[in-house]
Amino acid sequence: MMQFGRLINEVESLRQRLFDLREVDQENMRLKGLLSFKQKSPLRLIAARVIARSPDSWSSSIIIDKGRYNGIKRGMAVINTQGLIGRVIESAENNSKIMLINDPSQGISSIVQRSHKEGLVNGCLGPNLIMRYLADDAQIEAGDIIITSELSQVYPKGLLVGRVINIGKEFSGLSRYALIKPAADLSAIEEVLVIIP
Amino acid sequence: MKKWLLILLSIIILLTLQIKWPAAFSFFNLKPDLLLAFAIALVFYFNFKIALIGAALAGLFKDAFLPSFLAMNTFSFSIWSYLVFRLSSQISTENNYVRLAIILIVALFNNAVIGIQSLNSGNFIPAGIFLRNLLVVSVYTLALSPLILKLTRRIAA
Repeated sequence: MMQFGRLINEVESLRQRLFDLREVDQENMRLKGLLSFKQKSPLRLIAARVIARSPDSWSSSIIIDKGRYNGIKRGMAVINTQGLIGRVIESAENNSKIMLINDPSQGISSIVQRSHKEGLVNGCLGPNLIMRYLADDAQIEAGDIIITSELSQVYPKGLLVGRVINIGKEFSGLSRYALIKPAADLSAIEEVLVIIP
Repeated sequence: MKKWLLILLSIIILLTLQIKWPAAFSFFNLKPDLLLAFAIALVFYFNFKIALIGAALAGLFKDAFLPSFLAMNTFSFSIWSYLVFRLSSQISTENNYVRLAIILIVALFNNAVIGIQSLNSGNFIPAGIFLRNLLVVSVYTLALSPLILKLTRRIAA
């Protein structure tokens, strides 16, 4: 009976270890991808880990574990292996605050990769972004890829923002808007890369 | 002194919970405002001075982690604390249901104020997302308030 109890405990402990190892394995895969991306990318990048998220639901930001000590400054663009994440809005000695692209106060000058038509991508707190001020005759359709434009003062040109999922007409009738699904999964960011200009 | 330490510790724990809120428990990527519930709960169990300073501290801690530079929560938490204190001298707030109703009303108003302030500063928030944030965050805050009230009662005891 005692041996049975001991075996049960051992199974529980091994199961717990298996869960831990699975988590380590997933982290290892993510870090490998990040390292490979960093080595292949022509950009100068600093890898950082997400340590906290915005405590309220009316803004969208994260805090990373690298700051001024590592060369991170306000205004730098932040990406991950999937695409654009946001920009640094505050930098302390050992941590930095990043405003994500789905924060409503974000405005990213972007273009449709296929037709090079310009628009302004705004966050609206939801899972998608909105690209506004598109000309009425702009060539844009669902599935088009959206990248940052060279007009952007903050973001380097050509960073992947997301993909068009729907197009509509603005209330005024003067221009169109497009709903964009961000390339990066903004609700599950674990590691990021800060671009050093 | 011990009570102050416990209040400070509770604020830190609730803030840590809020910034590390597990994705599995966040509906539509939204989380409850535990610090607001705590700030209001302080009014029910402590004298006005402690409740007001506690509320301002909770707001200040929350503001420190927000992208906005305006200390919006420090002001709003203090104002709600004052208003609930005034209200509690007019009506009986000894019943837990009344306390929960007050927390829900404050959460609705607080979220509405923050949302309108965000819209007013030129941000674009679709009406559906505004309403979803307003209702889900307020109701989620209300759902966890009994635990916050229990915690505050323990500190006050």
